Formats: sequence, C-alpha cells, structure tokens
Amino acid sequence: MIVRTTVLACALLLSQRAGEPASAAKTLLSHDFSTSPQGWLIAGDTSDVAADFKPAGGNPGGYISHVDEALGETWYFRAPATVLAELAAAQHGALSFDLKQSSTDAGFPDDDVVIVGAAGRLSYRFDRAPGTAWTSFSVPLSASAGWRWNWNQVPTEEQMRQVLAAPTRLDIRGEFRTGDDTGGLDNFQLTSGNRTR
Amino acid sequence: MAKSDSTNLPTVDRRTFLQVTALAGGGLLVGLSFPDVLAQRGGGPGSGAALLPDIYITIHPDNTFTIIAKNPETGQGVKTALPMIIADELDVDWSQVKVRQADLDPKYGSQIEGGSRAIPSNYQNMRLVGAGGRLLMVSAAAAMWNVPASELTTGSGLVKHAGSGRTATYGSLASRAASVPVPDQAAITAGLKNPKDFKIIGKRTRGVDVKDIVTGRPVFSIDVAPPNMLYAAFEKCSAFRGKVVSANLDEIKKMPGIRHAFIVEPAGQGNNAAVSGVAIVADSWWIANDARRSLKITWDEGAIASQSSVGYTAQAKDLAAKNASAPPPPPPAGGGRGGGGGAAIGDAEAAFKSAAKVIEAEYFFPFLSHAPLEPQNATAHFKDGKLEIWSPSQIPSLQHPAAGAGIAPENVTMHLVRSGGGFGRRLVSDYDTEIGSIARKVTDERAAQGLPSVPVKLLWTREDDMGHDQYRPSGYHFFKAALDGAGKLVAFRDYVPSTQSVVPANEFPRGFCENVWVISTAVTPFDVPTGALRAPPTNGISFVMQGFVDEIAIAAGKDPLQYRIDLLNSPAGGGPTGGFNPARARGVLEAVRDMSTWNRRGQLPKGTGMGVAFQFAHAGYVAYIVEAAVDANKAVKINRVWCAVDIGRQIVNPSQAENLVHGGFVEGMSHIMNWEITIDRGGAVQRNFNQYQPTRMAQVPTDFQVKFLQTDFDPTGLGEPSLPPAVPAITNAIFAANGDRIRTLPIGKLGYRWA
Repeated sequence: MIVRTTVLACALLLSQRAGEPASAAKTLLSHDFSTSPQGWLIAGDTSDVAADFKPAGGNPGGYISHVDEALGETWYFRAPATVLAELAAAQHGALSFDLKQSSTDAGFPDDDVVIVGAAGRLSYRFDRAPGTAWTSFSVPLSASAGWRWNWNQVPTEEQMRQVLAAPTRLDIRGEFRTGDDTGGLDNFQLTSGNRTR
Repeated sequence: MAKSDSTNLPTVDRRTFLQVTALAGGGLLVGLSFPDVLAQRGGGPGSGAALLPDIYITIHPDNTFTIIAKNPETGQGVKTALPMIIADELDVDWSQVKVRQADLDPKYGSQIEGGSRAIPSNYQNMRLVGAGGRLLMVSAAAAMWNVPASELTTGSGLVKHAGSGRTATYGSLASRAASVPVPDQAAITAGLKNPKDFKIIGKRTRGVDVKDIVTGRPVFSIDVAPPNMLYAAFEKCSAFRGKVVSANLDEIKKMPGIRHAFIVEPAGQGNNAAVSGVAIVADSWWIANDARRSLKITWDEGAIASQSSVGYTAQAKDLAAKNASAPPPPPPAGGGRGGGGGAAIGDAEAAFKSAAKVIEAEYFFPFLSHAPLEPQNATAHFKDGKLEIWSPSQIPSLQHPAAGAGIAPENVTMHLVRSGGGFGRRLVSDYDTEIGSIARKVTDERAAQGLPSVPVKLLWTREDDMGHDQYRPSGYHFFKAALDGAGKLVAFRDYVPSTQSVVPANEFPRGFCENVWVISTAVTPFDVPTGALRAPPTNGISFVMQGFVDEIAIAAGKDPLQYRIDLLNSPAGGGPTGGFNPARARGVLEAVRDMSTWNRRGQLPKGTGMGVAFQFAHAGYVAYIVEAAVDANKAVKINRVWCAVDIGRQIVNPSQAENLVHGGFVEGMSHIMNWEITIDRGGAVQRNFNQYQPTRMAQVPTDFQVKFLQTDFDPTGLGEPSLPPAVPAITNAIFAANGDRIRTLPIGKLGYRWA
C-alpha cells in the first residue's frame, strides 16, 4: 500500500466562526486519495477493514468508500497514524473533508467526528448530513466550536490540547442512514492553528 | 485541487424556516423547513431541491388542533409520541389534539420505522415545530393587544395577558397569525420550553389508536378496503427464489369467483424484489386462497434446494475445527459483507499459552421468523398509468411498487397504514413490489375486457409469511477465554462461521481485554434470505456474548455482575469503539443491582437463581436481572424481573416506554423457548404458530420493575434495546437455578418448557 502524505505550503484559513478574525494558517496534511486509500481503515461496523479505494468519482479524482454491513453498528473512516501525528499542531486550526452517501432517505444523528486519546474523547456533530453529491465539512479544532469532551461535557482548551497531543484514533462518520448503504470520503485536510489575535 | 465550496450548500432562509399558511375560514397551517429535513430528501444538500413547507399543525377556528404523525406506526407508539412533542411545545392540551397519519411525502424528510431512530432523529425538530407555532400565536396576540410579547403567557391553546386579564384562543388568532412576522430558527430555539415546564412530554399518555384497536375498528393495513376491491393470493415456491415453469392457469380461471390467474415474473431488486409465483385474484380472499389448493405448478427450485440447516451446521463445525487455533489475521479487505473480516488485537495465542485458566464453549442461535400477528399485505389500484398504494412498510418507498408495476416512482402515491407488528420484517417491502405487479396486471386484463380498473388487496397467509421471511440470521460462535491467576480476562477468542450473522465491532468484552481475536468465515453456499429483526444483530449476539461472559465470571470465581463492572472500568486493547460508553453501561448495571435483590441471591431456595445481562444496542443501554425457578422436569417460571434503562434525559411517553420494555422481554422469552426456523430443501420448515409458539399470557412475569435512568444525554429510542439482554439474563438465571449452562437456542429442544 502506498501511503502518500502531502505537506502543502501555507494557505489562508478562514475562521469557521462568525466574528473571528481571518488567520494565517498552513495546511499540515492533505489526503486526496488520488492513488491509494493512504492508510485509512473502516471501523465500527463489524470489523476493521481497509477502505475501498476508488480511482475515479471523487471530488475530483480518487476517493475511499465502504459498503455498509446493514446489520452492523455505525461505521467510521479511521485515520492512519500519519494523521494522528499532525493533530497536536492542528489545535485552533481546522479539520475538513468531503463526504457523500448513496442514499439520504433514513438518516439518524450520531457523532460525526470522534478523536480519542488517553486524556479523553472528543466528539463533534454537524447540523447536516452529506448528500448523494460530494458535501464539504469543516470544523475548527477549538473548544469553542461545539466539541464534546467525554461524551457530553463541554471541553476546555486544555482538555482539547491533551487529547490532540496524544491521540489514539480519529474517526469520521461514514454511515448516516438505517439500512445498507455506501459512503465515500475525499479531500481530508488538517490546517494549523497559528491564529492571529 | 478543486473542491466543492461549503458556502454553496443551500441554506434555509431564516424567514422560511417556519412555514405558515392561512386557511379559508380562519384556520392556520404551521410547518417547518429544516436543513436536516432537506438533507434527507432525495438529492440532499447540493441537489437544488426546492424547499417545501412541511405542514405538521392545523389550527382550527374551534381551537382544536390536528397534528401530523410523520412516521409509520407498527405498535412502537411513535404515532402518539411525535405529536406529543409538538403539542407540548405548542402549549395546547392533549385533549384538544387529533392526530393524523402522514402519507409518504418527501416534505417530511425521513419517514421510517427502524433502528429505534424516530426519537433521536425527530425530537428536536418536533419541538421546534411546536414552539414556532406557539411563538406565532404570541406575536399575533401582542400585535392585536398592542402589548409586548414578553407580557404574554400561553397554555391550553390560549394566549393570556395577565396585566389586562385578556385571553385569546389560538383559533381566534389564526388569521392574524398568518400575517405577523415569522420567527426565525434562532428565535424559536431560544423560545423552547424548559423541560421542567413540559405538560405532555414525560406524562403517561394512551396511544391514539388504542381505543379503536380494542373496539375492533379498522386501523390496520389488513383492514384497508376501498370500493370494488378484489383480493389476491400469491403462490410462491417453497424453495427460496424458485421460479414458475408452468401452471394450470386455465383451470384456475374457470373456478367460481376467480377473476384472474397469472404468473408474476420477478421484479425489483434484492430482498425487496417480487419473486416468481402465481397470483390468483378473486371476489373474496378466501376464494382466491382456496383456489391455491387446485394449482398445479412446475417449479424450477434452483440450486438452493440442496441447502439445509443440517448442512450449514456441519460446515460451521468443520470450519471451526480447521480454525481451532488462531491463524494470522487475514489482510484487511474492504467491502466484505456477512462473513469476512474480523479483529486481531494483541496476541491472543500467546496469552492462551501462559494463562492460569482457559475455558471454551460453543454457542448457537437459530434462524428466526419475525412472526408479526398481521401477515404481509398491501392494497393497490393501478389506474391511468399511476399506482395508488396503501402499505404497512417500515421503510415506505415508491421504488418498490413502481418496479412491480413497471412505472416511474413519481407515478406512485403511497398511503402509510398502521401495521400489526413490524419487528424489522417490514423493513423489506417485497409485498409492495408484488402488489404493484399484480394490480397492474389486473387493470391491464380488465382493460382488455372493457372493464374499469379496480383496487386489489394482496394478503399473505401465515404460512406464506413464515415461509418467505427475511430471517434473523443464525449464529455459530466458538469461544475461548483465558484468565490470569487473579481471574482477570486476558484473552478472548470468538470464531464465527457466518450465515450472515455479524458481530458489532464495539461488542463487549472487546475493548476491555488486551488480547482479542474475533474472526468470521462465511458458510457457503448460503442463499437464505436474511434481514434485520428487532435489535439486529445483538438480538442473537447478546445471548452468546453475555452468556459466555457469565461463564468467564463463574470460572474466575467472581460475582457475574461485578465482574462485568470491573471489566467496564478497565478499557484495554484500544478501548471501546463507536458509540459505546462504558460509563452508561456501568450505570444500568449498578442501577439494576441496586433496585433488585441481587446481593441477597444466596438466600434463594434451591432450584431458584438470578441471572444478569446488559446490552448496548441502537444507542440505548439496558440491563436486566431475572429471578427464575426451574423444577426437576425443566419447567421454568420467571418469578421477578428488574430492568434499568438509559436512553437519555427525556422519556417522551413513559407508558409506551414501559410497554416497549415489557414487549422486548416477552419477545425474548419466545426466542428462548420455542422459536426456531430450520431450513430443508432450500425452504423454511416451520410455517405456522403450532410449530413456532410465542410466549403466552400466562407465562409472562407479573412482577416486573422498570427504572429509566435520566442521564444527561440526548434522548434515544427504545424499540430495540430492550430485547437483546432479556435472552441471556434468563438463560443465566437458569444456570444459577440448576447449573445447566444454556448454549443453544431454543431450549424447548433441550426439554425445557414454561411452568
């Protein structure tokens, strides 16, 4: 398996929260799945398996996907160690990605992004689900963005820092409906948090 | 690289979040457009789908209110629960409300009954609908009286101004409300009630259809009877997916009362497909069904005719023997379904070699039929190229009847009708595909004879239903566990020769043991149609996992309940995954221990024992303790049941929630004692309740305590979580009573019976 991690040049990150100043940030890591799954797994359905690599149909180019075990639990795209290694630098930056699903008719709420470490569990829920076309999502890695710590607590920045400093996994939800379905992930990106205040 | 821009996602105009329409005669319609609803529609965000008003509330001039129930009702109580949420936030009395079932319509977003998702998916939106309506009424009154809205209060469908003593009914304000500024989403969210002020949510409320049901009024799908309706019976091959080669149709057509007889060709896809068969359409269903006995059909049974339960079991044991020791984990492979993959965490084999104690056990649970009391049925009328259908589906879809009728889905109108039990069977709508095909054929044949089209009701017999189900998969589990000198679980192995049975990745005790090996190999060939049964897949998995964990605790010489808590306190091997929260699992175990006599179980008489089990399923946490007595003739009596449930901070309807717990437990009793579908010659052997006996009223425990823990988590559903741990709690109690460890279901085959 070829794992290709691209460290890109500085980019401008526009803060996701209204009223906050634009800040200079750099892209820490970007996975566009152009030639491989880049080490991503599928977790939480019935077993941990490699994500299916699709050379075309992404946004654009390649992407990764998984066919749901209809009787399993909610499944997630699980990030490789190369992603976990960059999370500490991403605090106050942002995590973004594109998702699509094969059908949108039987949705249910669940944690959309989960980051787990010895220091605790961070989770985030977006207010919408992906469509059958590629849908972009982005969330700042800041306590004020609406993250939850250890399931239902509001995190402090220090708790965020401790989890991001030593993460053991980062999961992005791929299943959004009851019944069998297929989900896809593309354009995962982490940006740094060098905010100017 | 170019990326789609999140700023291009369609956003809801805040002023169109709440949809308001004046009615002629002074009434008002209140609805909701919400991004989540839009996202669940066909195209989802980015599709350019038009926003439509989703009308949930009709405010009538006489100050009564009609509230839409959006989801299908199969007995789980959602037709009552979702309108209760709206009514409470609207601040009207429940006695002022009439509930109307919605048709299938994209404007309502997701309309399904499955996965215990109705409450978690709709709780907040239903609150917003009601609160939005209330704020409109307040705004209308404030404008009419020229007072600040902050001086107004509501209740019982009235707006009140304490300062002046004035009151106005919502009905009288409806016309004015149609012209006041519509509150935006932020204002409505800010205006939501404090839950301590709920007057309907959280109160025991009788189901809206209960009176009609107990007085025999026609409320079920089987009762649908449009004028001039004909009745269809449908003969299918006893071997799954067998095909008709020929049939004596001309003889059947000559029989009295028979109007049509024809071969139905396969249509549709997957388990929702109509399979090959012969339809007989008559003036009455009894005439049509009796005519089936005169059918002479030549079938092509296909290769499945060589498959049987005996063969599956033999192959499972052979696979287990070949994999008696753990081979290297297979390379991960994506896209595997029903038999691939697994987990290898740590080094289980090394742990087994150095363990102080190793225990092994083989567990089995059988195929199950859903056995709803109302057999599968649907009614449809094909006319002028369009199909109107009345369906009891849990996942109503226009696609399936359209595929049967050979028309586009947009030419189908679907009415949702209450079903007499779903339990997952009606997640699959093969009967909708069948009636689409049959209704079209009838209309076409009648048109050729110069006759007008008529509706047709398709009704399966009990034998049809049990013989052509989407069965709960059977499960074979070959366990091995290693304990250290202190009794700690240090290695866990589960080999699963799979007949479509799956083990969730977050299934306890995985996540609490350093060395775990769970792997599955497919039994092949395997062509039995399988599907979801209430609480998939833990309805079977809970029995084997909580049974074997009980064995581990006993082998360790520990209290089985405390042993589970100790494991939950010690995440290991990467810890739990997905949505499994060990603190909540621990919470229900501690609660059920504290509410029961668990700590005094040593004082029970000989032949009486207590069993415990818990399960995380469909976002809910449930633990049972069961006290059972077993006599020398293996007659089992369940004396007492304690149940602790954590489904979040709010129980919408405690009455229905208790019913769901009781129902889940009683269904679990059926799983334990008598329910089993076996396969022979590619078809189901058991075809009616005489071979598949459910629990009887006299066998149901009468001492049954339920406690709902109110934890600070979002509300989730209860239709499914209550069933799975009932099974191992009972089998563990039987072990405690007589020392017989139950590893195979049903236990009726082992000589047991209910006392």
